[in-house]
This record gives sequence, C-alpha cells and structure tokens, in this order.
Amino acid sequence: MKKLLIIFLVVCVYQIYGQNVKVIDDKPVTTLKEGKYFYPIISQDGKLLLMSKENREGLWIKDLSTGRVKNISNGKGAGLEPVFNIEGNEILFREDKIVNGKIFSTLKAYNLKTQKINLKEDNIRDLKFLKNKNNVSQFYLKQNEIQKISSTINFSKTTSEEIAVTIDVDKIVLYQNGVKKYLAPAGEGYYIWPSLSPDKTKLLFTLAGKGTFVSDLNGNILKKIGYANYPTWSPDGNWILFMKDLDDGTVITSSEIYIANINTGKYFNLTENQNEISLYPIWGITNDEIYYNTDSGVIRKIKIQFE
Amino acid sequence: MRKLLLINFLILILTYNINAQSLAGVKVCINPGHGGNDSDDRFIPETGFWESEGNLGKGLHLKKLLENLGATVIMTRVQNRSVDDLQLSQIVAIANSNNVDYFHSIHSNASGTSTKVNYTLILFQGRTTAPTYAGSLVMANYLADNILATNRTTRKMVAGDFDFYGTGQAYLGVFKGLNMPGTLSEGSFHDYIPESFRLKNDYYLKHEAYAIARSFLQYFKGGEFKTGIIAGIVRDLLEKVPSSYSPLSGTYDNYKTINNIKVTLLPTNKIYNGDNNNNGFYFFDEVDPGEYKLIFEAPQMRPDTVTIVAKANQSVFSDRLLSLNPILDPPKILSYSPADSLNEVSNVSKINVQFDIRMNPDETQKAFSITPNVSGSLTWDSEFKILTFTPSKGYTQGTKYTVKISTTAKTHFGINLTQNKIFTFKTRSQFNLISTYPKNNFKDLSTTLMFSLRFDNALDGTTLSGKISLTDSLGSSIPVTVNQSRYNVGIIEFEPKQPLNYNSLYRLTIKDGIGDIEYVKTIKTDVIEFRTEKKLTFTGFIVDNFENENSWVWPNSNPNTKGQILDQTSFFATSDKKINGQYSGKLEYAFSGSNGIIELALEKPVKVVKSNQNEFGVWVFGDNSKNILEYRFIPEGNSSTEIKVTVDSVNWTGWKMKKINLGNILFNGNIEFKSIDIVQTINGEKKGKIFFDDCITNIVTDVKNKFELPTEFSLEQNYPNPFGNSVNSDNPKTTIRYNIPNQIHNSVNDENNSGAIDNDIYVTLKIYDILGNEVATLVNQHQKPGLYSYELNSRKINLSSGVYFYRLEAGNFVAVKKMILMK
Ligand SMILES: [Zn+2]
Repeated sequence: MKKLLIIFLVVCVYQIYGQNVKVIDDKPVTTLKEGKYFYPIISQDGKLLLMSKENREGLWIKDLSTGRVKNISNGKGAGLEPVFNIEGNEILFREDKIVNGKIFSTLKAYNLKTQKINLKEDNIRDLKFLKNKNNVSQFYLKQNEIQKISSTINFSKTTSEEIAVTIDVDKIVLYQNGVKKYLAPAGEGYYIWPSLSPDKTKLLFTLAGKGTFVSDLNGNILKKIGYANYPTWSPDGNWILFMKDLDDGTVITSSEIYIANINTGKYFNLTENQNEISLYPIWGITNDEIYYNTDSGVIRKIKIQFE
Repeated sequence: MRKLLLINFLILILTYNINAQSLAGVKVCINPGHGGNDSDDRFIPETGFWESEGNLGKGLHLKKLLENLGATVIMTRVQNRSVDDLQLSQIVAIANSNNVDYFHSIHSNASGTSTKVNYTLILFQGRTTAPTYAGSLVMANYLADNILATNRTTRKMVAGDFDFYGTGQAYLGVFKGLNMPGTLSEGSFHDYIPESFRLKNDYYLKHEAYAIARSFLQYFKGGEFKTGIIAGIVRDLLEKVPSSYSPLSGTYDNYKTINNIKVTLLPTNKIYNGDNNNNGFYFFDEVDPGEYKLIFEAPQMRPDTVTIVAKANQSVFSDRLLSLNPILDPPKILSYSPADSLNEVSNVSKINVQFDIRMNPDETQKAFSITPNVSGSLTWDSEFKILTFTPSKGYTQGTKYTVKISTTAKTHFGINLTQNKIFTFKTRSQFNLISTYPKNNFKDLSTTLMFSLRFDNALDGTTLSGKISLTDSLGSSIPVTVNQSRYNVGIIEFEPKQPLNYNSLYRLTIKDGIGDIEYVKTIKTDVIEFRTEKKLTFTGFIVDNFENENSWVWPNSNPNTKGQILDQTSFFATSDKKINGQYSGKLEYAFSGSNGIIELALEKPVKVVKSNQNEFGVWVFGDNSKNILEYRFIPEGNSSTEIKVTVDSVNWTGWKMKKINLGNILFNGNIEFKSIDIVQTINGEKKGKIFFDDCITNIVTDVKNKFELPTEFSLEQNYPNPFGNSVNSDNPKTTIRYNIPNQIHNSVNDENNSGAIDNDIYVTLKIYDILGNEVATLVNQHQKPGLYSYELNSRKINLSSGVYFYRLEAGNFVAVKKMILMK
C-alpha cells in the first residue's frame, strides 16, 4: 500500500515538472597556458568572450571561432562588468586610478571593427553601467547623473529598450521612459546583481543575506528563488542561472552552478560531477550554453539538453 | 592694511587645511566579520566572548566616527544574527557595485593552540611586498601602527595573503574579485584570556575603532583628530590571575583587574564607570590636548591619583595597581560549614570558614586544626577571605570531628581573632544496598535477565573487585557483562554473557566492603538465590518480527503518546538484543509528569482471531520499571474505539514471552491488534528502555521440554555453611539441595518423554552427629524425579553447636556431606 502511494506521487511530480535537464558536455574554453581568466562575458552574437583576472585588472577578448586571445586593457577595474553597446560594435570598460585614496574611472570604448580604443570620459566618480539586458548597456551613471553611451540613442525616446536597471546601496534603481524609480521589493538591506528579464517586464535581483527574487517592474515580488548568487536570466526568460557558493567566513569552500525554472521552481545542479569550485556563470546566446569560471582560473562551457 | 588682512586670511586657510579632519566625498565599505553566534563564529567559553560581537561593536563605532568625518559608510551588517553574516561573494558584490573607495574587514584573531600570543595582524591581497593594490599596503601599515597604539597587543605584523597562507595566490575570500584596495585587521587575539575580557568592554572596541578611523584619515589625507584619548587598565596589587589565563611576560596581565572602577578626569569632571567583565579598562575620548588629573576609586581600595598629558590624535595610557584600604578592626567569622553539631555530614565534605576581612594566609592556616587528625589541604579564595579544608581521602565514617580556629589567626593588616572558634560535626556512617533485581527466592526468571543492584549513594567502582559473584548450583561462576555507566547513581547492572540454563538454581553473592564515592563502605553481605524459568517454545503467526522499525509509528508522533520527554523518547531497530532474526525494536522513553503513556503502534493494525484457544503475545525484554505493559486492539476497521488489555506490570528484566488470551477480550466482533503501550504508574520509573521482538498470534506453546529434569543424582553442599544464630541472627537457616534424575528416560531431548511415566523412588535425608548417631530425619518418602531443597532452621531443631553430617539415600545412590552448626 505504502509503495503504491510513492509511485503515484512520483508520477505526479513528473507531470508537474515535466522538463528535465541533462548536462551533455562541460569543457574548458581557456587553458592555464593562456593564463588564468575569470568573470566570462559573452557578446550578443555569441562569438566573443570577454574575461579578466581574479582582481579585475585588465580585459581580454577570446575569439571563440579562432581561439585567439587578445589583450585590450591592463587597467585596474577593466574587468569589473564590462559591457557591449546596443549596436554590438563596441566594448565599454573602465580603467581606475586612485588619487589621495579616492577612485576615479576613465570610461573607454574598444571598437571591434577598427580595434581602436577611444577614451569617452575621464575622472568619473562612481561610474556605473545601466544594464538593458545581460551585458548590454546604453547608458552610464556618473555620481547618479545619467549619460548616454551611444550618440545614436536618445534617452527620452519611449521604446522598451530604454528600460535600464542599476542599484544604489539599499535600492534598485529603475530608469523607465525617462523616469527614475527607487525600489526595495524584498525589504531593507543591500541589493545586488539586478537584471531585467529579456521581455523587460520583470526584475531579477539578490537582497544580500535574504536571497534572490523575481519582481515586476513595480517591485511586487513574483517569485522567491532562494539562495542563488550572481543570478541571470536565460535568453528565453524561462530560467535563472546562478551559483550556490559556500564559505566558512574566511575562504570559499565550495560552489556549484544551478539553473532554476522560473515557472515550476524546479532546479538542477549543472556541476555535480565537477570537482572544482565553479563560479560566476553566464548564459550563452541560447538556453543550452553556459559559461563560467573555476576558482583556479579556467573558463569552461557547459552544454545542456532539455528533455 | 588690506594686504595684511588678506595674508592673515590665507594663513588661516592654510592652517585649517593642515588640521582639517575630513573624509568628505569618501565612500568606504566596512565589514564586521562573522555574525550570528553560529558555527561560522568564534567563541571563547572562559570569557563568553563571541568574535562577531566584538567585530560588530568596533564596526558600529567606526561607522559613527567616519560619518562624523563626512564619509559615506556602507556597513555589511549592523546587527548580529546569522542572516547578517553575508556570503563572501555578496560582500564583494556590495563593495564593487557601490564603487566604494576602500574596503575594510574587522576581525580579532585566535592562536587556536595553548601557546598564547597577542599581536596585531593586518592582511591584504597579494604578496607582502607586492600587494594587488598598492593602497592596501599603505593602509595596512597605518592600521598596524595605530591599532598597536590603542589595543594592548605586544607587536604588529602586516602580510599579503599569498605569503601569509603560503598559497602564492589569492586566498582570503573577502578580497577575491574586489575592485578596490582592501584590508582585514585582526586587531588582537581573542583567545588570549586577558585580551578576551578586554574585548568585552565596549570602550575598548571604540578605541580600536579610533585607530582604524585615524588610519583612514591618513590614507585619504584627511587630517588628524584634534582631540586625544586617555585610557588604561586598573589592577589589584595583591591579586594574581589564575595560571590558566597564561598571562604574557612583559605585561601586567598577571595581575587581576578590578571591576566596577570609577575614574574621574579633572578638571573636566568626566566620569568613567568600569564594567564587571574582568578587564579593569577605562577610557576617555574627545580630550583636548593638555594636562589632566585622574582619580581612581574602587570598593575597598585605597584611592589613587595620577597626572597625565593628553595629546591630539593620540592615545596615552596610565595603567594603575591599586592596593587595599587598611582595616584595623579584628576579623569576624561571618559563616562556617558544616554547621555546628551537624550529623550525617558527607564523608568528603569540605570545611569552609568565611572571614569578613582579607586574612594573612600563613598565620591563619596555622591557627586551624581538626581533631581527630585528617589528612587534607587548606586553600583560599582569591580575596583571602574564605579558608577551605579539603580532606584528601575523606573522613572516617561515623566519626565526630572538632574544628578549631585559634586566636592566632590574623588579618592581612595584622589584627588577631579575638576568640577561639570551635565547632563539631559527625560524618555519615552507612552505605547500603537498598534493592536488587532479582530478589531472594525469585522464580521463573528469564535466562537473559539483567541484574540490577541499587545502592543509596554513588559507587566507587574500584572497591568492587571480588565483591560480587554469580554462581550456578555447583558453585561455578558465571561470566557477566557489567554496565559501569550508572555507578554515579549507585546502580550496578549486569547481564550473563551467555543465557543462563533453564529451570536452574543460581546464587548471587554481594559481599560487604563495597565503597561509595565518599569512602563509606557496606557492612553486610547479601545472598540472593533464584531460579530461572522452564523452557517453553512459542510458535504461531508472526504479526511483526521487529526487523524494521518502519512498520511502527514513531512514538513521539503518535497522538496517544503523552507526557513524554521528546528528545529522550525514541524507537529504533537494533541488533543489540534479539530473540529471532537480526534485530529487535528498542523503545527508550522518559516521562515528564506522572501519567504518561508511550504508544508503539503498527502503521497498519492487523486482524487477529478472537477465540478462547487463541493466545497473542510479544517477546518483551523488560526493564523492571514497574510501569504497565498494555496491548491495545480496535474493532475491525474502527480506529476510533480502543480495547485496552493490561498484560503485566513490567517487573522483570530479560526476554519473556508476554501472552494474553484473546478469548478474554469482552467485545463482540472482529478485532485488530493496534499497539503496545507503556503506561506510567505512580511507583514506576520515569525512564526506561524496553526491547520487543516477534509479536505472535495463534500461539502454540510447546510443552515437550516442559520438564527439564536432572540427568543424575546429586547432593549439594548446604548453604550457608557454617549456619546458625552466631553466623546470622536474622537468618539462622541453611538449605540442603539434591537432585533425583529420571531413571527411565534420562535424555533431555527425548521426544517421548512425557513426564507421565511413574518412576518414583524411595528417598531418605538424615542428619548424623560426629559419632555417627542419627539425630534427625528430614525426608523419608517416595519422590518423583526433580530438584529438591530442604530448609533447616537451627532454632527449630534441638541440636547443639558442632559438626554434623547429612546423608542422602535414593535407590542405589548414597552421598554424605559435612555441615557446621554455630548456635
Ligand atoms: Zn574572524
């Protein structure tokens, strides 16, 4: 009798969470011979991989079709979340200098066609890229003042592309149709890792110490994902990718990479069979590709299959 | 004129810029390490210090200081719960995404070994000489100098994590991926006990916060604090800390600190009131440069003063050793113990004498005497007011002692006691065996019984050697396994290593001289004779074989269970004991009140046939708890009604088949067996452990081996021997035992042996004196095969003291043994 009941339950579960995920491949993209690289970022066409050093110093491009690695900056902070412009022809990054203890950033643009670096602005305090979607930015902030990156875009134009998000200490800051909105959807604390869903109707963010959430653009919580660090949306907006890192207060002791289905809540560990500490995952341009770095400085790529 | 003014004005601005203390426009992230007093935290049991609390205290003070200087401060936590202890990756993300100019993590250190150190350590990312951020090393040096100048550490050290941990690469998680310079300060060592106590003082934490703030001012070229700090530690000149504190040489940490001190700063009249956390620390901040006078006051201490010069942006210390205020009154004895003329005093009791004034220890010890003399030691409390005598091996039991403190006892200030003080007490005399299982003459005992001897005090296991013996009827000793874990509550439990023989006589002897933990000994020998049960086998339909605990409902989640102590009640399958298979079920239980019930119910009740022929039973290894064993049934398919059947009081140990006749259940209709229940009784034990094995219905009791008869004649030595009034006035009896075997079928396993065959034999048992005269006839009749005993009471036979013989004659068998009567 008891056994029968269990079988019945299993069938139910399967029907609810019908979709299953299988890791079919997990291969290094960089080798230690090329150097140690961290914090992968992928271009809109999926052909270029941006990466940096553990301490965010310098920026490198790996051409995924040729395998060639090219250094484009040795500046401090160049590896702190560089972005692509909306046209996809420029990489925007910062180079920091410290004067009397204060950090000043220089905003630079690397043109992928001309391979030239163009200095956009110097001596910026508190530089932040406003993100439209994963790794793409049209605007930046300097001390809370909005600036456009590309001359072809006008911020006052009312298109959905103009929705962008960043954070300001204990608030998420949403710029929508020229209006700036402060949100604290999950209560008091520090908000980190905000991002807009691909359809730009939802927000994904982490409240430090409290967990990761999905809300609408008015800050109404739609889903609690739980303990999920460095979360990002899948290209189709149905999944969340994140890392579950553990530490003992001194060092990171383990970290695994997961994806969670936003509709069912079901999640899958993608690095179960990987012995290394797996960190800072990002989606490729399709749902079935994921890049991440190991604690030892190798960028890897996972291929998954949805069944 | 105008020009002059302008120049003056410029000079003013210039001066202002040099001394301006400002961090305007600076943004920093402060991370008070750990959080939540959890496994991720660090705790010092001797002082009650949690690192998370110290770190947070420093952090909150630092936040205020930096904000007052105009800085923007992002604190990774402002509370101390587990949720506030953020993951390292989140801390780094907070610092990065808010573009702070500097990141600092606050900690204290621990050597984690018995080697005690107390230095200041500043860590950063990179090689010690090649940091990831050059600014980290600059700041680390500022921090090391400034914290060494505020905390009571003995030296400083700065190191990059690549080198400090020997990894050659990034190690500390709080720096990994950080996009700005950062440091981690281990201000001092919280497992150095004197420092741990200091870290419990909020002003000590504030002082370290000042050191970090001074470092930030240097780092951001923000000027200096215009005011200074006066601080120090006040200790007692006469008292030292316990050696367990491992005070560091070169410090005054070997002196005991004074609690609840009052320090007054003149001429400002600011008052600092010290805490009672054993640190003696005092602290004044925002002190304008200049000369000051400090006044130190503490209960019973002679006040002390000192002059000190405060300097801007600096901490100056004045540590003080205070001495006692002299008292010229003679000492009084405030209390003493044991109370005068007290009886039944513990045989290891300490003697305490409490004076009202600190005493001269040597003179006062010489004035102390105890008669009769007892070896022991004299010790004092830390204030030398309480003198304690501790006997080294107890007193003599049942003895009157006299304690005297003569007038040569003197105070620390040289004043004698005015009158001799004398008091007496009498020590405990008895240590007793208060109950046993089994008791004398118990029959039908399980062959796997657990023996239990209960004494009226905790046992000294070292006195037990050779004192307890278990022997069979032939005097051979039976090996047992002893549970020593309950000696501390005066209980000895043991089990035979192999099951005892069925239907056999055994003797348990408990000799006098067993000692308790207070060196008091038993003075009486006890002998317990008992007989094991006859062998029966039970077969039938097995309802449950207890091989798997999952067929039973966990007793704590059964609504019928009540009055239990949750974490002491459990049910598991165990291989510790069993009747059949691999496992039995072990039910451990404890009751909190007086009418508890523990119910062990089947997940699904099982139908049983209710008829007069049908017996139902469970193998139960009893715990002699005197609680009630019940079986409960329900009408078939109707779980709302219960039929309770009392099986027995649990007054046995060892495996026993506990059966009931289902025909006796007064219910018309089919029934299902539901549960086994332990029902608490008023006199029952509050805690117990019962094992269950095979639960059987439709029992067939196999009677083939019902009579396990002796296989040969024997006549045993009488017991006790010698016997009579002079040997034991309470029990002047002796017992003579003999066996009459079955002479036709003497094979135990003979299937046809039914016991119905008439094989009586003529038996005589007579007593003869030393000259061979017959003096008494005890048995003179036909007897069936079996085990016989004859009890001889010396008061009831008309014989005088001396040596006698008893002679057994049965068929062709004749045996004679000697016995001694002492009237
Ligand atoms: Zn720590």
